[in-house]
Amino acid sequence: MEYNVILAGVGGQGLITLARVIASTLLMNNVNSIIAETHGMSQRGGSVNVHIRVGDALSPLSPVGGTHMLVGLELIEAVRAAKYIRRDGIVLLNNYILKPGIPGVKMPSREELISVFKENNLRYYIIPAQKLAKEAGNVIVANIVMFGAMVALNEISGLDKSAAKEVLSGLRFKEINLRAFELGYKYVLEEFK
Amino acid sequence: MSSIKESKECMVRKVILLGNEAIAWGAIEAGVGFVSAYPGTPSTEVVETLARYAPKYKYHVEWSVNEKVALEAAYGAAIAGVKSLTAMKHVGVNVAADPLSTSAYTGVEGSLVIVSADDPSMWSSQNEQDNRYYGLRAFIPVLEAGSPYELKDITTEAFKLSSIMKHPVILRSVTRLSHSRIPVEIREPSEIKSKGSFKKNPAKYAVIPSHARKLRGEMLERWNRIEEYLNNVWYNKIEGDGRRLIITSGYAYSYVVDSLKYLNISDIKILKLSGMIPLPRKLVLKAMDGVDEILVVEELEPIIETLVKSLLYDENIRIPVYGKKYIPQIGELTLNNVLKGLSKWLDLEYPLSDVITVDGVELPPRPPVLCPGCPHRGTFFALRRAVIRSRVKPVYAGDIGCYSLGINKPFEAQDTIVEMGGSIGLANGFSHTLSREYLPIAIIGDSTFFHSGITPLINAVYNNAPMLVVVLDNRVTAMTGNQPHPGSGYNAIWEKANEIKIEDIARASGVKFVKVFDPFKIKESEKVILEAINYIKENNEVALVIAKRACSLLVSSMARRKGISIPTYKVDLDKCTGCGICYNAFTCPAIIPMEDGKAYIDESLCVGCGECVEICPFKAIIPSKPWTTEYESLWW
Repeated sequence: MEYNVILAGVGGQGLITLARVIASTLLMNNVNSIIAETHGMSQRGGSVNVHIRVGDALSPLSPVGGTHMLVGLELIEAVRAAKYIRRDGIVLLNNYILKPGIPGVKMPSREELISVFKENNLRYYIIPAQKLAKEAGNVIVANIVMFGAMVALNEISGLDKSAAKEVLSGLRFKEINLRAFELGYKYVLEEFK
Repeated sequence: MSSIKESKECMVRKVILLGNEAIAWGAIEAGVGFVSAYPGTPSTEVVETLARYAPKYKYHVEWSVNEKVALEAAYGAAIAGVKSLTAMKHVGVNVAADPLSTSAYTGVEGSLVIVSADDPSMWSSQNEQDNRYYGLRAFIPVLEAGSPYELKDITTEAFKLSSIMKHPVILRSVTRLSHSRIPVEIREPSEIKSKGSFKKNPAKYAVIPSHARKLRGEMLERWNRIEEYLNNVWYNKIEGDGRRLIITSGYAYSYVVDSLKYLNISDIKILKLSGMIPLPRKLVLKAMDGVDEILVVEELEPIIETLVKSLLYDENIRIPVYGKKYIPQIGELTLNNVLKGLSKWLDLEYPLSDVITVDGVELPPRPPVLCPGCPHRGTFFALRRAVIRSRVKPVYAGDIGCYSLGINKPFEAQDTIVEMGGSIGLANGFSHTLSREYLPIAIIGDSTFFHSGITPLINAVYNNAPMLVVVLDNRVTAMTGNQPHPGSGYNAIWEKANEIKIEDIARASGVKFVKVFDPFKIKESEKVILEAINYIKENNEVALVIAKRACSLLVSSMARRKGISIPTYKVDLDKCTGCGICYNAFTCPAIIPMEDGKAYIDESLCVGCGECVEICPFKAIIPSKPWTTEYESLWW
């Protein structure tokens, strides 16, 4: 069995930390995973994808057209990565648009971006992760809010709440991260279940 | 989190490691005693990790000035009988190619492992050269993990092979191995030996022609023994059975195994080669037994494909061998392209053809940009202004580093980027061949200057090639994650070290106009650059200016770690006219246009550099959180 995930966002949003937290949580439950990430040049505010292959996979990249879950930390980047997702896949979206740092770009609207997932009849969930992260104490933990939401969806075996909280307790800024996790977790349960 | 960086009981646990950390840990378990490297994506974290553990395990670790020196240092240590490792990105091996090419002639006493981290798809590089060729042409065996899970063990195997054969070994990695993360079981090292001895043996280690001729024969003999050895190792093996054979090179194995699962096929034989250079011919012939057709799956160039075809010719075997007919030669392997190739070869339907399309929305591009507070932004802004005022036609000879991003709008100040040191090097040619209305401007970083900028600078002074050299000194090798270099004043484990000043080198090289400026002070910077340009016009000589300010990413993260408050600025909306200079011409990512065109500063991104204060014509940018002496002290 394999379960493929792709995280899409902008360099600096904490995608690698999010992937490490996911892999560590899985490892606590003896589930292997491979993360593939990009360092160097593309990290400086550029478009970034992180792949996570959970279970029996040996190779590092989640397949286009064969990825079970897309987690978008930013809406433009989520749409850019939409080709990865399977028809029966799940999309988790941070309701947040970040303007690319180059002059004179034409920006798509929030509705246009979300319509991609709507029109393709995908199961998608919109999470106000920036807002919830601020509530938790710092906008920088929006990635952990999304992690809470992921765990609450209960789609990936081995990604459970108690292991997740144990992993988060080992981070620096433990309190803020745990609060962010709970807010994301609770949001999914209250809004979607 | 389970990382060796943060875990206290890591020695008994399975931990999540970055691929490069797994390589580092393999080296530690193998008993590495000497480590030297020049940073370069995707190789950097191998030695960064080894630097972290150096105080504990007492081996020598250094950031060398470039890859050639790094390899020479590791080679010297290996001649002294120590187990040594050097790591570099694929193009770094070009820099180190000279000593590399002779190291196989002499061999070593201890072991010499050269980690070459290649970058298929060019995620952070100027080309995607396939360094297995270096192994072939320099008679150095090449090992590569069959999947990220094998990284640590293949590293210890590289040391083992090198120790047994007394011969250098290339441990090849690629971006997707080095920058994967996997669970790894790690153990305490048995023995670290960082001191060796020197036994005089000039017949072996001084390659004057008469010695070299003899050594070449010995090298080829070792080469045969290495091939024999690679026929019988766990990492080269035959799996499954069938009338069709897939030969995999390195981590292509992982994509083949995963693809066959998608295709639900089991009657196929796989020859997994993780020690593929030299080609273990006996094992390949054994795998071919009873086979009608062969597909070679390898990333980039058809190296194994060519070797297998040549072997079949020699053995008078006539079965079809395919490779690049089905597997792309350009870019990295993916599950998709391997699966597509296998489907076509096996005449099966490609199982992942149903892909969601995004037709309705036009997505803006998002190239990487200079960080908020990046001192390079101030330098580029001032440079562009000075160039316009001086009315010269600039030819921006760029170089490798964060400042390569100056190629993008609005600066567009990198007309050429080729290799490390290529800025000053190419400017030598521009200077002699272009008319005087043009001004060659070489833009080079501090670490790149030490790496390969000094010799072309001396060349420019010696051969009198008037040019402006702008050294962007942000105190560290920034692009690869802030490693110290000879100008930083710190060594690889961040202890105080001898600091070599770029301005001293420039003066000693014969440059008469040398000035240092602070790129946070834009008007002053512009003045210094203009002065340099006028000096070149009047004297027809090289002028060199140094923009000196530490990397803001490094300083702001130090501030966060130490709990020092980061100063910020804000926009006085009464004064802001919405002219857009700050977000369109200066493009700090922390300054964002609002609906009405006025600027807004995102204080969570602002690091208080204050560059925008000077560029705002309406004095609308004011401090919201002032600088403190603690914050001031972090910049050096």
